Amino acid sequence: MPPNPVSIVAGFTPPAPGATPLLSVIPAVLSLELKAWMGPKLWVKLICAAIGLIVLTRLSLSRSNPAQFERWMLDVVALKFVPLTCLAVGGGILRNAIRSHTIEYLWTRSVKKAHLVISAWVAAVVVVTLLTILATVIVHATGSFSGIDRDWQNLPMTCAAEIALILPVTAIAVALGVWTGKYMVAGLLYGFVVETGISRMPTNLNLLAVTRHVEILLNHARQTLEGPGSMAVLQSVGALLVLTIAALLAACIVFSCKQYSIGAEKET
Amino acid sequence: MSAVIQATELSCFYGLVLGLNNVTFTIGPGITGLVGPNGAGKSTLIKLVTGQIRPSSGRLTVFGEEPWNNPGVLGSIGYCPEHEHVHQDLKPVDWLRSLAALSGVPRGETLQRSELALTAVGLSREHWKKRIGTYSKGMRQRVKLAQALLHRPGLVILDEPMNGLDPMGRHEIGDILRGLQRSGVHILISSHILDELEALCGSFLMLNWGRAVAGGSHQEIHADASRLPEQVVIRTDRPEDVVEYLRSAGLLRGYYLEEDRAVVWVRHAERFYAEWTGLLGGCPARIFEVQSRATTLSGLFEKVNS
Repeated sequence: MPPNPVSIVAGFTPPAPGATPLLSVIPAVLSLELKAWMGPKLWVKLICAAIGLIVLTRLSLSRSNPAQFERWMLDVVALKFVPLTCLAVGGGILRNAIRSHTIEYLWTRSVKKAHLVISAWVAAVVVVTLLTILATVIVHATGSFSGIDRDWQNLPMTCAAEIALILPVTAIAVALGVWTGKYMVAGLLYGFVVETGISRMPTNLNLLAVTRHVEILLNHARQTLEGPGSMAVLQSVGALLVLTIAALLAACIVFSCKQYSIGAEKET
Repeated sequence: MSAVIQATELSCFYGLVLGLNNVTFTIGPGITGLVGPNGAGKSTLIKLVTGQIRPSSGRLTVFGEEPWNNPGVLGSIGYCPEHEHVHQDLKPVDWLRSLAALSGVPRGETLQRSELALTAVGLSREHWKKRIGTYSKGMRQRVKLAQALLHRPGLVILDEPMNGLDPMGRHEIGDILRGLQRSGVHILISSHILDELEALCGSFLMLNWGRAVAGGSHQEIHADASRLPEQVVIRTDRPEDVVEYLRSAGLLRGYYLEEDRAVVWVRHAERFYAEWTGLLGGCPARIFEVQSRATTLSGLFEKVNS
């Protein structure tokens, strides 16, 4: 007679007491998010997005004009497409789980809420990075096929600069997502006030703007300006790291202290 | 009796909306049923016990510790929520493996535990390759129950676990829960299907309007409720005369009449049951049947809420 599965389940050894270590939480959340993200229609969505991007790139370009292409790459792809993707993915990663109640399966386990936030951020960064690299390669390839003389050697450095943008912007998006359900609106407001407004101010306040630092990195990567030396690049990388840590810290505090009671009682 | 869950003057409000209002109770080992109508505070209590919200005032402990932001105690709780929301695009084994890893199960054991848990809840292997989004309600209930058992919790909390299950499925889940109880797992189960609860649970906690109206074993609640008016159905040829007779005997608290029966609330139930043959023997009407409604769990619940 086979053993009773209930008795086997009841006989499982309980895991070690205390919170699950962060290094175990990160792969678990990453695997959960990636598998959920790679749903049945992923390829259809990716192909549609790629076609849309190719059409948009072709329509936006004058043939054989590398300077215009560079400008378009910086303004549209790096500083618009990537931050908006960060906002949508990073802001939604925990907020959508809260809305759909699937968060209950995560935070009722032996996991610190701060660890959940950090793991969600890592998962969002991985997803956005994959999308960004794909989009950058597509745009570069479209430029090349359109007859614009592209220097493919710059591509890895461009991607690295974009990843440097993804880290803080996704952290800010995660913080906005755990703070409010209207994270897209809050993110756009943040973009207008801090990234578009403060970054133009000729004071040290503009150090708060992520895009300003990323422009320095992108310019360094593409070597189009005489400008940014190694010191400026290091300063920008340091500032981006500080902004990332500050945003993650804020997200951890909000998520750990805030009560997300979306039950029927509150709705009534 | 050592307390698994203990609440002391526990209150929880959502702004101005009442969740739980100054309740004090102890839930001991074994299977405990959480009973109450919609809005009684069952979900609030479950959220408090699973550390999803914190009390507005008072104290709640699970295994002696407060669950809010306490991963140590949450690791000994398995929670199966009421709602249907699961990761639609995931396959059950993938989902369970990630959740097991989150609970601190060693990476090498997550696959084996997930498969055993799915087998234990009766989800056959042929369904494991399908995405959860394609599952029926009953199959989702089984996956939800499996995820609550992965990390060998000491306390399993089930919110309406019988929803969507056919009678056979309910019976199977009941057997699983009894098996868990035999192996020392404590269970708190909330359900609207009171008959199922009655067959499964050794004790109950009855909530209504955010208050704990009764608690303990069936017998204890029955004994506690004996001081309360009790509903009795008397089938007779002249219901009006029976009501008038009981009123004159000083036993009647309330009543309504149906075609061939009087549904009465008797003031002193113990005295009524001790003397009913003599009492009703003197009644001018013919009595065909006397039935107490407080013997079942639903009857008891009606009684303590009356």
